[in-house]
Amino acid sequence: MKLTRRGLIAAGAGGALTSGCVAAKLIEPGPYRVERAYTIRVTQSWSDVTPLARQEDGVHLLTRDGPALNQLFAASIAPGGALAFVADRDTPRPRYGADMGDTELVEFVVDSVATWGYQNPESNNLRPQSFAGAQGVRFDLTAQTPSGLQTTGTGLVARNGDTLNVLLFLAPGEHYYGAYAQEIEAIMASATPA
Amino acid sequence: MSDRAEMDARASGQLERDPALNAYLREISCRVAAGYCGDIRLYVMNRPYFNASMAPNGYMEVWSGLLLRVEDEAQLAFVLGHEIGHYAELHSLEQMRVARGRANAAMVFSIIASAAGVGIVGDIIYLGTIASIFGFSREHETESDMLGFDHAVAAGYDGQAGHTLWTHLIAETRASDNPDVRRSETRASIFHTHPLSADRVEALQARAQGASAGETHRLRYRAAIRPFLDDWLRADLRRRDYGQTAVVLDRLAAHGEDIGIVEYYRGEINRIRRGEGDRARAIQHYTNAIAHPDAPAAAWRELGEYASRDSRNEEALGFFTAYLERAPNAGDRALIEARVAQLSGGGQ
Repeated sequence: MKLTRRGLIAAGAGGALTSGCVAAKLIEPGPYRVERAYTIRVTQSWSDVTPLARQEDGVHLLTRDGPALNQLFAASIAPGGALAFVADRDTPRPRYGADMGDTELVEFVVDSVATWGYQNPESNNLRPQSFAGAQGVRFDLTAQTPSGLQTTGTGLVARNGDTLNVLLFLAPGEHYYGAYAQEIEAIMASATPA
Repeated sequence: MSDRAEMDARASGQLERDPALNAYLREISCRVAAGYCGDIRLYVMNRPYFNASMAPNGYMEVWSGLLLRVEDEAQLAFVLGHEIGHYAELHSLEQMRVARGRANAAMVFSIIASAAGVGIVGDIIYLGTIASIFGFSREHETESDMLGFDHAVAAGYDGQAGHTLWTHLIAETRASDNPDVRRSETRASIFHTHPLSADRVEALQARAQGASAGETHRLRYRAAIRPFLDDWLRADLRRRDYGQTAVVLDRLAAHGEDIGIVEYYRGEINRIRRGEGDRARAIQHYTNAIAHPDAPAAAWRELGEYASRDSRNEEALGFFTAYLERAPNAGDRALIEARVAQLSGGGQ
């Protein structure tokens, strides 16, 4: 049943955009490589919808039930790069700097969430946690969609040389966040250098 | 369409529900609106742009970016009076007849975009749609300026407020980091299609010359918005137009109030911008901030970060410890405690 639903998301979203030759990709349980930076292991099937909504270089967007219900951003961002894509090139957006401190890395992610249009994004419970063998920062996040839906998130960031590795999960606090919390924990713990 | 927009506002994540702030603004709007008081339903929206608007059904929005930029009650009364002027003269209905086709098309596109989960695009379309309702003609704007002046002065407010506020907005436009913004003419609202021109400022100046002195109630206004300064300045900073935010901060500091928070955000501009000389300026502003009782605890943390990067470990330890003392429930407590342990020689 669940596998069928994942497949339908991937196929449906892909079908809608066939004229542009882009499609969502079904990710079967197993390893998923993020650029040449790190590999995570998913235990359930996900849809990689990166091609459906323009993303910044190095940013992958995965979902289980559709981006409105859950989003897992898996990214490897070079200095000067961004997590949040903004179509208008003249509009300033948060950019990653290799000299950022730990709290600034979290601020970069939170400001990116604000750039996506979420209201009042706030991080909390920042704590050290390893990410693909590097010392990183784990944090929780709360925000609201513009229409007032409470959104919950959790993130993990770590520098790998000059690049920044990011895992960020966002979902409505009602049901969806809790439903995938265990899977997200497992994904974060599974990250290994690529 | 106005009813639908009002329903959206009520459910919006941007709605500021603080009872004290809402009661205060409603009191001012009623004082200015006089006979129209019963018609007005005012909503404060947390959006970091200068805007107030009033729909033909009496639904009024005032954005936090406006409240941050207005210096006193008299300036706010002028803006509210201006919007009530549009309402009283039925400008919206006139404008909506012109814009109906454009708005309908935008709404359809907005629904499609929303269904596709394109949040930011949907937001832009929403703004564009509302702009169709509130984009008044140059004649309507000038007329409402005069009505705003009359309403505010009749309520006992200072007649200089209108042209002072418009002059400040023009100065903020000139200070923008974005060359396109600097080159453009100022808008008194992001929805108004017509610019805030020099002739509107001059007309208000001329009108004010004959008016008797009124009240500004500056201190009362600042006391009402003080609890929100931190959140509103953070949101303004996220626009990443540091030149404009610096002007806002200068204006907030003009009377020597809230210097701890103002200096902290001046430091934030420099820390985030990372331009030439910004590092030294950030440290100086944070240092200035912590000399004031209203400095956010984060000022000590940022000084600790700079000290740590410069290998001034003893100083860093002192700043981080001071931060944790001032913000015992800080969301990053575990992280900073790990830094303290590291600097003390007992950490990872």
